[in-house]
Amino acid sequence: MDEALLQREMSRLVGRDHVLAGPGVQRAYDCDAYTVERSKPTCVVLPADTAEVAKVVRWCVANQIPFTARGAGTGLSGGVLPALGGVVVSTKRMTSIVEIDIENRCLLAQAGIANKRISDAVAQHGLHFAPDPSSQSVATLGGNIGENSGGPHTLKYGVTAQHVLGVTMIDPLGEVLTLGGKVGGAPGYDFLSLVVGGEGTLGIVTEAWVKLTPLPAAVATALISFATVRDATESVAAIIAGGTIPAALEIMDSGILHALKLAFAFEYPEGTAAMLLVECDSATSQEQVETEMLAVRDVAARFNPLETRIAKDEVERQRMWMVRKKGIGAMGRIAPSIVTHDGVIPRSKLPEMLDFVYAVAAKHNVGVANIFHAGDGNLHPCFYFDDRDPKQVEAVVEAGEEIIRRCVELGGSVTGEHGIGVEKSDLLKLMYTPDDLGLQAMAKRVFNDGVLCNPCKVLPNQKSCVEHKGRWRGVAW
Amino acid sequence: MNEVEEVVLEPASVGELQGILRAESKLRIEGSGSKASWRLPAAGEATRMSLWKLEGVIDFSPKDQVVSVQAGTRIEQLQDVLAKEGQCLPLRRIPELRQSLGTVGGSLSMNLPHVLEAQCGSWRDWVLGVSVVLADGTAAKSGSHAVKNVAGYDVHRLLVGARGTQAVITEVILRTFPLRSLPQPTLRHRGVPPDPPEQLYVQRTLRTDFARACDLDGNAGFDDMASSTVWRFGAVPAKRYAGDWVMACGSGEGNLRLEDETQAKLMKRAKQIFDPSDKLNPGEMGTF
Repeated sequence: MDEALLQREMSRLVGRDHVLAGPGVQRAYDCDAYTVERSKPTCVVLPADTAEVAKVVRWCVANQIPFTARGAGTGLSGGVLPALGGVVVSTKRMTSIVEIDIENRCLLAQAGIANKRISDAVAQHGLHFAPDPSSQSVATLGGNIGENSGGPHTLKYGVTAQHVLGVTMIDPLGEVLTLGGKVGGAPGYDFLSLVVGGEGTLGIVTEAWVKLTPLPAAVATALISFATVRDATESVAAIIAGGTIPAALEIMDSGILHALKLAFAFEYPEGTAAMLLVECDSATSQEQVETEMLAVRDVAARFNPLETRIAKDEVERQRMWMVRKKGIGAMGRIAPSIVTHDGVIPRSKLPEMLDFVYAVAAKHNVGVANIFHAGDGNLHPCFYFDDRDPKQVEAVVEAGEEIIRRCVELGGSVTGEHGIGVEKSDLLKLMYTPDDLGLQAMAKRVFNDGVLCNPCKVLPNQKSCVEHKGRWRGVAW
Repeated sequence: MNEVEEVVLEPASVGELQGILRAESKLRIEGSGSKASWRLPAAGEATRMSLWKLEGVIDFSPKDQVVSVQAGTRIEQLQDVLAKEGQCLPLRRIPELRQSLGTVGGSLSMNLPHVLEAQCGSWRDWVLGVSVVLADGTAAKSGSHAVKNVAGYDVHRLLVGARGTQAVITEVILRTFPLRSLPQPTLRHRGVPPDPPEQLYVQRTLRTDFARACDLDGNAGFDDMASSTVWRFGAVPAKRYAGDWVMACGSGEGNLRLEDETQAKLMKRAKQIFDPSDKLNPGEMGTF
């Protein structure tokens, strides 16, 4: 469709000031934080609420224009890439908290609210929204729902799916649907479990009721340094096998630590090859936290730690978390481009898997650093390179696929929290047979039987998508 | 006296099950039969099929806290295997109900409220993957052994509480919990339950309505404050609260009422896709 006409029509629906277009906008919205594949939208609209999103979707359906929802664009698998162009529906104006119900421990917010703002809004009541992806200061609730986001505290508190009670969404035909509500666990098919993690392909979530979780009464956080990566990874499986489930159990290797030193003057013992960040918390007592932390330290002591640093106060604890959450960002000090991969393995396989990651990087002659949710077995090898050099890009893509393939061989998954998007739709075939994928396609069809709502995502070999794949990888350089 | 014995199909392998699904037109599926009184009567004629022969633990990795089992495995049997490694599934038998926990596949399919739900979640939180046979006999799977996985649509979680109306579950992959840190249920018991128990209902409300829901009548039962859930021996209550839901046992067609219109419409659409000839547990959801 003609660009000017589409802009005019969208302006009519959401107001002229809330439609963005032009080459600069198209460039800014052609990908998310997974930058290897790109595709330009015709325009970007910023609706104010559920009703305006419904109007936009209905217009798109009537005129056969593809549409793709987008939050903060922090996704890591191209989930908001407008694969066939068309309209990007940004939730960036939908940032309100609609209702806070402290007594019933839930909150209704619009999809565009930043994750952390939910927790900030209820902290005075001793509550928080538990999913805490590293991008939480900007990542939106809608994006978290689409990707079923995790985060470091997933280990104890669960992923986004465990904290969403209900949603209001616009289905792919433009109808407003409400699923679930303030009282969880109702009988009937659990459609919410499909929509959370549906990567925006089942409709556009506009509002959600989320569960609020009491803040822990006591918490202890420690950094434990090891001279070898093996010592660190073996201690992870041993800690959990010992019956302690910490609130978080993270690993950072020397590549990440070096970047953190450059970016934030972060200090750590010389000779550290990997560091664990361990957090134990309790809803009831300081004593329980101390017992758990002692159990963790006892296990870690069997693996020759260089140093164990326990946060003395909240300031030091926040600093420990700051370095964990900014670890990937700090990699910008080392190379112009990074690609963060995401795969899962059973945690007992961590030691051999990390050996494999370093070997693959060496083989392809690309740099790799590791920072990840060790307790869940959720790897994030972070390749650093220069994306202006097509050879390096190719090496990074190949190394990534080799690692993901190994995850599947070890009984894991091609993605633990970043999603399939466009990045991994072909890799799904490593995990699933055509009949398995047929089963998934049936589930998708309950909501989306067309090709307009966030097309070409998740399932491989979708009609009218295959011929575009080359274009997505080609337009970046 | 000559009784005509009812035919019960008992597949002992996935292959046999596929054969049955290709040959039969209507099936009433059960595990051990422990939850029969919670179900709705079959709509019309249906051949009974029990999955009890598909039983056994396939693989248990205590270090990873992941177990895979055949769907017909009894939960009590699974708990014994897990307990040897200090682990468990956080499901407890409720003595007042005088019902066994049944099978893994049956319990997942019924998804009845339980007494550690607020503390440990429920089947949707424990299930990491399933293998199924579809109504047309096709075998397929969803999910994996990874404790965290967002690869594709979570069909395995859609099957939770679907009462066997979408596909026949043959294998389930679950996360397990350390026994050591398992919380205790926080129940408050009221009166003496009838023996044998006849009718029972479960009602879940908002926290703010819970106290009123508890004090509704003089019936015996028990309450779980942590999940705002009330179990009462008696017929389904007339008094309802904002956003609440009710499920019943021993009330025949009144056991399950799906009151949300959007939900009912989507369920019909899903049923049409998964089981267009209405082969699997006809009548089980009330509306189909």
